[in-house]
Amino acid sequence: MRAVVVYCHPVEGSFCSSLRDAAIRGLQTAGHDVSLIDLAADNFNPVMSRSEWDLYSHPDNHIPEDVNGYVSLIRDAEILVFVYPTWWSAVPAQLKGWMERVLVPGVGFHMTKKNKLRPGLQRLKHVVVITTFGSPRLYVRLMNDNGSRLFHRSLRSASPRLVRNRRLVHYKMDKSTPESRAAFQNRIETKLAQL
Amino acid sequence: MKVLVVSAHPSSTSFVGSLREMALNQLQQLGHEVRHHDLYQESFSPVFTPYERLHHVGNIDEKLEHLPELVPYVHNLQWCDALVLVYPTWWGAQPAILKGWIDRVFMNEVAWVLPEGEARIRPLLTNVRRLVVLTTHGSGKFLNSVQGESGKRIALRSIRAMFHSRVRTHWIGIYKLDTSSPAQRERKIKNASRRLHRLFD
Repeated sequence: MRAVVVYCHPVEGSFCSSLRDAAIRGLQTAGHDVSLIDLAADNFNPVMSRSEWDLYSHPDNHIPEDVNGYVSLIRDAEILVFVYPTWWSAVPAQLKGWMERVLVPGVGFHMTKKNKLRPGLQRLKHVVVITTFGSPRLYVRLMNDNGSRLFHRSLRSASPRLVRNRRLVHYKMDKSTPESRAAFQNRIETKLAQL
Repeated sequence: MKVLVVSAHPSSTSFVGSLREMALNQLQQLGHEVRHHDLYQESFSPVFTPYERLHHVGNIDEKLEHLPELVPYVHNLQWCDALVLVYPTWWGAQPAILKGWIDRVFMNEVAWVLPEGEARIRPLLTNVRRLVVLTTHGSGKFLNSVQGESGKRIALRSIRAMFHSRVRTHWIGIYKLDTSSPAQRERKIKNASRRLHRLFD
């Protein structure tokens, strides 16, 4: 299957980048065709401009050049993997802006004449969220995990019905040990190799 | 009251633009001291830089020397008694530019500290005693609850925890904008204006 890994972290060599590599290794073991979108390396600008907003729901919505490549990649994607650190209970702004600018009407979803939401990413089968939290599990459960809500609920409502969601997380990063980190990397690799 | 309004929308002639104007006028008429950041107008960059990640915890003065563009945002956040956020809800949450304002401005030694030997962070923005969120949704209340209203949780739970422990929070959500007529929109603004008036009178 075609897999796209969307990765967002400001510093190369961080723990998150090793999670990205583990995910790619796992997907390759399973024989998937993997592409990587590295938002920091691409210097991606997450701010939706005035002209993009003006044309947002316009039928001949013009897709800007810096977004075009992403659009053609994810249109064919069957597996989408998001790798990011959780900040303020949600995705980093750069990743949020990627959603806003790439998954526009006609790409991420369609609106019918009766204003009903219809899926855009027709081929999508799996959405995997890989993220790290500073807080312990209980706190995340209480305060809410808004990153998962974004991908497993908001994006879900604009995805084909049979999409399967998976969530792989490491809590309490502040207290993580080399062992817990290695175990998490292994878990990612095994789980993604099973897709 | 000292009120900081932070707004985010690419177009000033949009519905959110009128909502922002309404809020600013209302607050000024009620005699409050108002400061305003229009993140789009100010071309705020929401991208967390490698420097900020590597100096995630550290001396604030040193940090702000490296990040002069954040100084006014930090000062105004530390100055206000009330924070008012005005934005459109996109994909269930704040637009990237506003999420980036949270990511970058709510930094260590501004919004929170982790005292040595303690397990929990301590909030520092105890000057903020009131948080008001004015936001628009294209879809209805039902679809938004199914999607989980992450923007509401980010504002009323995650950043709220950095404010005064008895901060009062108010959610003024406007729904179904995609299908509303001009008359309905007019009414939605009027209702929001009335609520804001009651809150700050």
